Amino acid sequence: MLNAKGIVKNFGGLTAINRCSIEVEKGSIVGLIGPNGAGKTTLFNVITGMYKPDAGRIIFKGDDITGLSPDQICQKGITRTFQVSRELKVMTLLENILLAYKNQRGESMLRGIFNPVSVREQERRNLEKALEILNAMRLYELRNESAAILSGGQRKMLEIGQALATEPKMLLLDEPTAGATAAETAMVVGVIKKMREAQGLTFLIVEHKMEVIMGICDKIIVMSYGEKLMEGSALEVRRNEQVREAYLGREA
Amino acid sequence: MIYLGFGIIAGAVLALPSLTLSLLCRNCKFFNLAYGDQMGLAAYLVLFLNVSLGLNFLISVLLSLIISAILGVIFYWVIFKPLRRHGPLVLLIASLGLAFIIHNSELAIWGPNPQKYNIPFETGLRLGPFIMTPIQLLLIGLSFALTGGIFAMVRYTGIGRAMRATADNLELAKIRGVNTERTFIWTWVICSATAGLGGIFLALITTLTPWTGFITLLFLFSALILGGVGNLVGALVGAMIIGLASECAGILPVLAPYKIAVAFAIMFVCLLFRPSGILGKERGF
Amino acid sequence: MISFIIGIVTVVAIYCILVLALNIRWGYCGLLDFGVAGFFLIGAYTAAILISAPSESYLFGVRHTAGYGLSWFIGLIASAVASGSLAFLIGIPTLRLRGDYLAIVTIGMAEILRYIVINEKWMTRGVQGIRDIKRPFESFFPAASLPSDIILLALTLAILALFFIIASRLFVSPFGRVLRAIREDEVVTSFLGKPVPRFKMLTFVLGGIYMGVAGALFAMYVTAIEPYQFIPTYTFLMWGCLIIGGSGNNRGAILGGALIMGLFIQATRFLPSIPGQPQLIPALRYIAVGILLIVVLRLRPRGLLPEKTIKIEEGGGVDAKR
Repeated sequence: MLNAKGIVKNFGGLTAINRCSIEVEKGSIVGLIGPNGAGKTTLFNVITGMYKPDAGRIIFKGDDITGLSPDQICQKGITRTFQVSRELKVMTLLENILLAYKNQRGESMLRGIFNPVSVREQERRNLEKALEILNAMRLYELRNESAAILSGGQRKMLEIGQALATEPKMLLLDEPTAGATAAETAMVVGVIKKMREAQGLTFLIVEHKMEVIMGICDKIIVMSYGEKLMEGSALEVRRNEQVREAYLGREA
Repeated sequence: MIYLGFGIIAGAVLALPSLTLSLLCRNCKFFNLAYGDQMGLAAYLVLFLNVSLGLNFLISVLLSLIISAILGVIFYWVIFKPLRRHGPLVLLIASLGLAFIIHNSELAIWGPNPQKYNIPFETGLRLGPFIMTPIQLLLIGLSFALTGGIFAMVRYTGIGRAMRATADNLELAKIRGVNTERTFIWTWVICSATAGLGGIFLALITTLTPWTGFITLLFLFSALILGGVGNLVGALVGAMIIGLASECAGILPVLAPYKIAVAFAIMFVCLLFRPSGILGKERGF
Repeated sequence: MISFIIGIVTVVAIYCILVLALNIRWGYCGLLDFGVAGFFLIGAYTAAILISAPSESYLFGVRHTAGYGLSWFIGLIASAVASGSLAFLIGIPTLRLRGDYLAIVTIGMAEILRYIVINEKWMTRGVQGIRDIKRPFESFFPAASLPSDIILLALTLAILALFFIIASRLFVSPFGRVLRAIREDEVVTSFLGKPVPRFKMLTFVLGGIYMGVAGALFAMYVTAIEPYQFIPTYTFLMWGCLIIGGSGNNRGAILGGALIMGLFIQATRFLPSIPGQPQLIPALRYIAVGILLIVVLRLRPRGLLPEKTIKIEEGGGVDAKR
């Protein structure tokens, strides 16, 4: 589904990603791990259009999406979340979700002014869907509260809900359980599994919590110093010497 | 050819304020729209001390610079520091408010008519194709000297390093033990004083009105953006180019009243094709 | 007396349209526009040139572009188009950059427009300005009469009401939702699939249209315009109205406009002039606004009427509560 080939990204004199190639099969859940500074988030940024790679191509479902802007890439079907949640605090949770739906007729200025039936109908349908998502994220009670009041884990849940509302084909999650309680972590894992079963969503997940990664990922890619160190199943990765070295001083 | 001379003078007058405005914007992370009026205010202070109080010109200048520096720190404490948490756009609005207050204060106290200082009249000297008065030459010289001084300060002194550290990464600088608060205060002191000096130079060369500061601000920002925001050398390069271009535009009579428009047109085109400026980094600040 | 009150209300309402427009740009979308006076000017001069009666004094050489004697309606439309187009042109390079750049470019744009007006006398009569701008239905109701004032007031209030309704509907619409998202976090909004530059441009142009129409109304109100009425001071006053009244909030915008401009214009009536310093009192008003702005920013950044959050009920009804 996603094929990033030979990605190189430099910042000033620093090479953040050095000829990294990864492949994610449709319907799979792939983990991306590595020590801090390995380039995982940078890779996300390149794939989703925040940066243009200095070399390499990104192919998604057969289309070359290299160099497209973030909104274009989202429209193509890839949505990402952020390492530090970036929910919109001025809006309520419900609005945060409603914002994310694609092809909203009401987003045209003229239709926004006249508010015809078609717009109201679509808003109503999106509202139903949004409430379901909030329910699944256990955030229903807070739906009309400002997003500013959420706890760390709840913010992650909202962000994932928002990402789901974009109805993507593939989700890139950047540390979805950071700051989450054990219960919330379990919920996130449940949601990911369910989305893969029910809708065939593909996932690429950056995670530091090993139980999560080992638990749900079909395949794990390990990055270090901007390069792909290895990839394989959970077992293979755990046994690998180089991986242990890369994580020297950290829990493996 | 005379226009070239005007251009060089214009560039020289703009150079120092451009440099220090760039320093201020880089350190404090917002565009200070009151800077031009800080320049004008210092010039008016000299007017007050020199013409109204009858003090010696050079003493007036010195006093004015000291007062400008103090005012700069006051502005920082009262307006910009408390609003820092709201982000650069709010600081921008506040600086506009400050500019407004200064401008109207000048208007209220001194009125809209152009003003001049009490200094003896001097005839111009011919230097090849250029005509300059001794004072103008002195100013160009001082301008270059101070510019070099600022560069040296930023590069080699402790306070300069502290400034660079806080500009690059405030949190990291704090962790590393840099006294960021003192750095900010010094930044405002230096930049306000040099702004004052720039304003006084300007008043010596052209007339002084309450609008002088604001108009100069437009030139300064054109220079900054052309040279690359956040880049000190860029500010100087920008200042020279803007100075030369806008004065040389005077060659064509149709463009004569539009010097500021020329400066702005250059800036606009720059934003269209290379927003980071000639020497700027990819992401501005 | 009545004529005087009608006049005050009319001009305050015109400035309220400007504040409303500024709110759409800044309050909704976070666009820093410091060139309000410039858009106002383009609207006023476009209308003035088209509406004022043709006059021999405008004839310089072969061309006389001032004074076409067209109807007020055409003047309004033309002003809207002119100002909207200016917004579009300015927006092309600046909207994709950081907000500060738009601020600087708009400041310069407004002043340069003013210089052009001052210098291109063949078009605008320079500092003398354009006079004899016709009011609507001038042939039936001559300009100095009460019915003329009433008609203009009615027209202005009608337009203000219309613009207010449009702005309010946009605020609660999905379009408005995207704008508010852009204002808070442009990057996230982009990653959610919204083409941010397009939304910004639409917003900016809509604001331009509002300001242009306000300019046309202004030209008809004063019947004689000149460059000094469009100095940056007025841009700043509009910002003062918006921040003090409550940015992001249409009612706040109008409240701020009414309050500041209303008090402003009235203040000089009640404060005596100091002999020998005629400019002191008027300038003090401006200083007061500047100080008030900074005080409000420090103490109550949301202004007098803070922004509403939108609560959505199950039935699909949208309820904008505070």
